[in-house]
Amino acid sequence: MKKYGIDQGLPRPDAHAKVTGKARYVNDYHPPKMLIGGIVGSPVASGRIKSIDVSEARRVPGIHAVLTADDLPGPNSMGIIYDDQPVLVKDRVRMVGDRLVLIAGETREAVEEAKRRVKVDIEPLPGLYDVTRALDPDAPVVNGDSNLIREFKVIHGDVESAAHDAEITISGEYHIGGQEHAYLEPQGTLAFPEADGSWTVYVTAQCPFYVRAAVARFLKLPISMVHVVQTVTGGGFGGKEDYPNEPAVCAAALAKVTGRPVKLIYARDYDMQVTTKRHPMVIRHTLHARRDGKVVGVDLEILVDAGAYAGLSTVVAERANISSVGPYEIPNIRVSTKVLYTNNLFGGPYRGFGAPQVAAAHESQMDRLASALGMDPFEVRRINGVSREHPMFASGENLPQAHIYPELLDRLEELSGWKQYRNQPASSGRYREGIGIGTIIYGVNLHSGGQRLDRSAAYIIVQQDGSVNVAVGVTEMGQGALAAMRTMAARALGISEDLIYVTQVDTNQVPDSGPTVASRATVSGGRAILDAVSKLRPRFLEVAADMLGVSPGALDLRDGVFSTSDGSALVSWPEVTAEYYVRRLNPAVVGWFRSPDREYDHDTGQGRAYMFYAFAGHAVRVRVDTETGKVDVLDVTAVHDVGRVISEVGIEGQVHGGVIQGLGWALLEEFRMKEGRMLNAGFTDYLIPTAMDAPADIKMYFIEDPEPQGPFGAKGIGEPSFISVGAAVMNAVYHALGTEVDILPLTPENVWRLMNRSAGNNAAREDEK
Amino acid sequence: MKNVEKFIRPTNISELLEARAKEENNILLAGGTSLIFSKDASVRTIIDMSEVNELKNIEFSDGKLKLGAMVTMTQLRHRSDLPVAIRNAALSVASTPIRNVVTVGGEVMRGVYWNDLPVALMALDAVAVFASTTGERAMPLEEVFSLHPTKTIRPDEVLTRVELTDYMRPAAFHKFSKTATDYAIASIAFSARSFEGSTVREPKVVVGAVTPLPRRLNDVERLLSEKGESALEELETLFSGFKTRPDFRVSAEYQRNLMIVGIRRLFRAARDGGEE
Repeated sequence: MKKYGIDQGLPRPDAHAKVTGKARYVNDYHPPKMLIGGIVGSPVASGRIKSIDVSEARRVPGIHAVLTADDLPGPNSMGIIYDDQPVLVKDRVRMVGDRLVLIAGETREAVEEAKRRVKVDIEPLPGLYDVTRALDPDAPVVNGDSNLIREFKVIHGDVESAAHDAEITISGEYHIGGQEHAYLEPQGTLAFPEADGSWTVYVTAQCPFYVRAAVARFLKLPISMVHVVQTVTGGGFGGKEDYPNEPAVCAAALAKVTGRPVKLIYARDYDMQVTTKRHPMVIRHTLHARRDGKVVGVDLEILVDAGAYAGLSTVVAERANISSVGPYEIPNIRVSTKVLYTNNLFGGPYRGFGAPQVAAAHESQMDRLASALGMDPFEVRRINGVSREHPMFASGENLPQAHIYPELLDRLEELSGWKQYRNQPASSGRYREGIGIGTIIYGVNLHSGGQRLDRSAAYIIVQQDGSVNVAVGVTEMGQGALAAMRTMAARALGISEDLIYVTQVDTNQVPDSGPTVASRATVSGGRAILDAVSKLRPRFLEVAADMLGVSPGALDLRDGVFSTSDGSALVSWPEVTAEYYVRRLNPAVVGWFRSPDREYDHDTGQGRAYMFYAFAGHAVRVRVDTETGKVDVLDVTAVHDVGRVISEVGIEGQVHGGVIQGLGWALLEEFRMKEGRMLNAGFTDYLIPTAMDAPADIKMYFIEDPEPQGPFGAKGIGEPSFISVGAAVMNAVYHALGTEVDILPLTPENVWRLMNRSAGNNAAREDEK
Repeated sequence: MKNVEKFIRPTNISELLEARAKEENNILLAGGTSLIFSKDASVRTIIDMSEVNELKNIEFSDGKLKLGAMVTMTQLRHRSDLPVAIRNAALSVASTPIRNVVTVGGEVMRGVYWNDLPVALMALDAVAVFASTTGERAMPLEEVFSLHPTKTIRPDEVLTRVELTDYMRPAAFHKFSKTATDYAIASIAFSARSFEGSTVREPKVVVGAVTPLPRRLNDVERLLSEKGESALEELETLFSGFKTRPDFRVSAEYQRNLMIVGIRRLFRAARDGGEE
């Protein structure tokens, strides 16, 4: 029996093809005369190129193009926000894998042979691998004039006076690790020139409109001449937001030079080394409070390791910056978020967009405060959390949704069995059990800084037989967008879901709808569908009314039948659509959504940051082996403020995925690095949880308090399902061991070291006054 | 293996040994999980052992347990009449699809540091039986691993089985890894002739993954023989200078900790019935 959702219970439209192996990913396309592309990357993270000799590579049979920076048929720059990244490096390499040479050949073997024959002479330069040293006077400058790309701030109240008046201060420095997206389908593109001068690009991507802009810019073509088709996309998680621009431009460069289709698919090790990652961050968090538990001020410095190029790091940092205070009303706030160049891995978007890292810190600080005051972690959150009476977010906004947070705490406490497990943690022999929570506030859709992109389209065509084509500008990447769009279109029209066919994004079919990120697919795609249906539905009601001889106002369309309220006049949807075509009426419409304009002061972080907000909380129960440091997760409870559930199966899948990916980040996934090189680039050594490692029980509860701005009241779920998992794990381990936890991931060795540190040096960090 | 010209699939041991003796630069194909990565250009012939059914048996005869070279980890894992240490080691190997193909012969002869099964077999004094057209010869696993096993076997020989004599003595095995399918950070096996109170007779301690090949820890065994259970508290000193195989995943300090923890646990597990 379904508990949630407005869907009709159909299987996902993309499910069958995916599980039977019939879905066509970009690597499954083989147009005639296609060439294979390849990239020669830098073996070192920092160095000056003395020479690149490609003469031998060009002699390999079957090779059609070998391009260096001097041979590119377009501008040698591709930064998405800052103009700081070349397509091919000409002089200075800044990261391992930095592109030096592009190759196209008849076969993969020929391309690999040509790659081997490229001779590169690079003079190594000192590199910067420690983000905390990025602003030292003697630190190597990685890119541009300074390693500081941008600083974001939140200034609210007077944190100095809060510090002066505080009765207790809790300080921590948190070292939070990055994360590889580990999408099953690696990056890939197929680009080819058409006979009429236009171009077609097939790509695995979250944001086909970004790819279109990048390729058009490189080829110096009008946007309308570049046709980007999103192929079935095998996972994204943020890793296919901006990064696909890079392989797409490379494939286009090779296709331009050769005049033939070029397919460029990344090998897994190269993909892991060079593509964007969740940013490692160092977070220095000082919290000032009174003895009654009230937090009076927070003072934060956040160092974001962007790697060698800015990419979208500043955008990620913008969310981290405003999210860093958490779901609390705190009167005095000072946050400084610095985005810094290093020669480490390339930082970028990843599910949660900087919020999981800062949540790890703000939630750990809350638990340390609770511990120092002898309070229950729920109690300090109830004292400080936003509520109807205390609705102010860090941005200075009074949140209309603030009343939901206390309810979320109640649900989380109840469903997780908190009182039992917290007060009587089971311990036997070498094992210690613990339970911890993490709670967050999440701004749905894009931050004010990106609001120019916060738009979305839906193009709907009603066919003669009553079937309906829906094209939206938000992408399916495995998260269930196609199913959600189908449900919303059917529900809004009043017909069966099996009449709706939703297509993957094709940039020639729909206007630029911005990126599919920030948990915005359901909201922005859904709102565009509702707008389209609001224009379309009256047209059909009018025809139906005419057919029945009643006024349009007397009719409704439900379950595929037009009827009057007393049921005296009935006509089916297909009968009306057939008649509609006979009358030669316009059966198509474009729906549009734009988020409300938001004023926001970037110097102080004050204003309206997001369209609206959602809350989420996780409770995690762990068992720690005190001899080896291994942490086993016993169960997880997730409570989400979702506005309204569209699909029960869909949202459960998102929560399962978010929790397990979050546990992977918190417990397993780490970059083993040596001077910018990822030593564990591959699934043998970069470990993500398997089904065997997943907890047996993930309990979930959805608070349905409809959001007026969301379609059918829905909010987003993609990112909140992940964000507070890591924080909850840290607090659970803290509870189990009584040892402060300031590092992620909590691999067995890291936990073992924390225990040893605690045993050897038990100095409390609380600086009580 | 780009120069392979011939693929042979013998159906009995004599055909197998014949092919092994005759075919130029041949290589044996058992489960295939490592052969698939081979780039050995000198190989001309692949001898597939998958249809030699005599190698797929688990036998109890002549007072011995005999594990055929083509017995898979899945077979071992599901046999409740086998020593727990062996079943646990078999279960530790990778994931179900891989356990379905990985063989006893492959685990022993591959000689990769993370192989789990040889650690347990060595602690139980297993003996490898190599066969050729001229006959059989037996070699204790400890001797097999004195060099890389590809150097202890002659080119015309095939490992046909592994034999264990005192196989039901107290023994235990454990693999330390981060996930269910991860390869070992450390694997440890322990066995003893018997326990009497806190003393132990003829303890055997073998480690893998922390060393390039499975290795018996004679110093630890000696200490346990002398002091019994109380020796477990002296392991830190004993291991302080132990040189581990460098592993980019973990520090040497942590590897040593796992060995100490593992030996303590397995000593008690073996004494108490084998389940760690």
